[in-house]
Order: sequence, then structure tokens, then C-alpha cells
Amino acid sequence: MSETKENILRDNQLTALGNLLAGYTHELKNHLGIINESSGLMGDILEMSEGVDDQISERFKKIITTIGERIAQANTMAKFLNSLAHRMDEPDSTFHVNDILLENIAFLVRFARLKSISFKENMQEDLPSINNNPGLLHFVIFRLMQKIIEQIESGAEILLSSATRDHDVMVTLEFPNVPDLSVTGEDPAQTDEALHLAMTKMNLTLSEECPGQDRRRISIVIPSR
Amino acid sequence: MNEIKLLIVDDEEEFATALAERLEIRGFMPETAFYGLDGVQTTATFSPDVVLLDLKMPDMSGIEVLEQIKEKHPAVEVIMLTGHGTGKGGADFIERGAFGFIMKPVNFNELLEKIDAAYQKKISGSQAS
Repeated sequence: MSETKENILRDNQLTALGNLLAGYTHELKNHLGIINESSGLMGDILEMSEGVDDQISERFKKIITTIGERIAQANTMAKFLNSLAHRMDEPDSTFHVNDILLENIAFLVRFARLKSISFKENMQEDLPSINNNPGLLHFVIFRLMQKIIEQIESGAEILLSSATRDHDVMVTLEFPNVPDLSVTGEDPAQTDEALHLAMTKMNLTLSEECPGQDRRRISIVIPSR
Repeated sequence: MNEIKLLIVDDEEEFATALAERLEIRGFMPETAFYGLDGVQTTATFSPDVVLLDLKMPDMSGIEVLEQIKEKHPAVEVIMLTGHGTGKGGADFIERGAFGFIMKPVNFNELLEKIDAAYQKKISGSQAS
């Protein structure tokens, strides 16, 4: 199969996956809606019931609160997944970089937790929206953070920052230094060809520096076009 | 608030009935419809003040139901219920005559406030005309 046809096939696969995921998360939210109302109704009935033992009543209230908290968490996850799904087949569009960062944190928390790695955010709140490819940016940030999580030591902290830089937006990832970690080298065999392709397509500028002996900082400038 | 007549139109029967029961406990007069067309017909027979309308149903889309309700009963206020993750389409609902929208899973207090605001708008509209 020619490279062009391979690309068409992959594009279509991605679009289909996006559609599937969008529908699936919608369905997931319907289920959460039913659980939410059923749990709420249970609480209402408990409130109205007379003669229920106080200890049992308190126990049930705690359970209902836990259900509510978990629904809220699952709803946030579904929301992020839904945004990602809708972005999969979206070409260049206007979006907020902080949304992409927050989504990535949500998706990577589980992997980070396995190594007791934590995230710290320092995001500029009034960041201007930019026009570029949000799906590709999601991929770039995810890939970088995944590599960092894999290679830094357990218990470390990754600081994610965003800020305006001229008319563009700059995202910074700062973490404890790993001498052999290479994510931006020119040799695809050593680094990551897909990452390079995505960055080229988005006109991203990526730089690495060591702000202190034990620290590493990766900065990505995302242009608005 | 107890004189407010509410119609809940949602194909998820368990969701609609649980929500109706919760609203009934709080003194509302709720009615349910589980299909879009049923929603349009029940609006004519039940004459609700406010309709809570799901966006996605198998027989008709919530937007189609909204348009039919507003065309035949312009005084009825409609609040859209959407499971869409980002609340996308909110401006479109308003443009087509909806009072507002609320995301699923529903924040119950937010829903009560929105129902009250929609009802106040309906009352002020009928007093003006």
C-alpha cells in the first residue's frame, strides 16, 4: 500500500475512533445521570423517613455522599474523554492551551500515581486562545509527559506552566533532571519520530535547558496561525 | 414553587422517573414523556410551565422537539438537558428559543434555580401580554 493510502486509512481510523469515543462518553454520562438521580432520590427518601435509626441514617448519608463524589470524578473523566474524542478529527481550530494541559494531567494521573509522581500546575488564567491543531498538541504534551514519567525517579514532581509569549503561548514542563533523557534530539532513532512530525506540523518550537544542577526544563512555544 | 407544572422529556426512563419523583417531593407537579413526539403531544395536553428536554432521543432530536414546542406554545419555557461533555451547542439552544441548558449528570440545586428562573420568565411574559 502506498504511503498516501496508508495515511488516508489512518486518518479514517482516527476519525472513526473519535466518533466511537464521543458516542460512548455520551452514553457514559447518561448512566452517570441515572445513578446520580437514583442516589439523590435515595437521600430524599431517607430524609423523609421517620423512625430510622440515627446511626443507620448517618451511614447511608455517607454512602450517598461517596456516590456523589465518585459521580463527579467520573463525570470529569468522561468530559475530558469527550473533548479528546471531538478533537480527534478536528483540523486547526481555536482552543485554550490550559484545557489541553488539564486534560493531559487527568489522563496521566493514574500512570504518575504508580510511581508516586505528582503534578503541580502554574497556569496563566487569562491565557489567550490560539488557533492551531489541538489534537496534535494533546498528542505532543501527552507523549512528552509520558516519557518524563517513565524516566524520572519515583516520588518526583512535575511542574506544568503556561504563559503568554508575544502573541503565542508557551508551555513549560519542569522536573528533576535525568541525564539520559532525550526528547528533543534531532535523531529520530534516539528520540521520537512521531513527536517530531507533530511538532513540525504545528510549527512548535521546543527547547531544553537545565535551570539548576538537578533540574530539567522543556519549553514549547505554540504559535497561533 | 409548588404550582409549577413540569414536563420531563427523556428517553432514559429511569432518569426521568427518578428526577420526577425528586421534584414531586419538593412540591412540583411533574409529568414524564419518554419520546420526542410524546413530549410534543404531552405539552399540548398537560400545558406545562417548564419543559426539561433531553437533547438526544431515538425518534426526534431535542432540537426538533424544542422547535415544535416553541412554535405551538411559545410561552412554555424549555431547559435543555445535555450529556455532551463540553456543553457545546448552548448558544444554539438559546437561539432556537430554549431558556437555557443544564449538563448531565444534573446538579440538582442548579436545576432548581434554573427551573425557578424559567418559571419567573414565563410568569412575567404572561403578565406583560
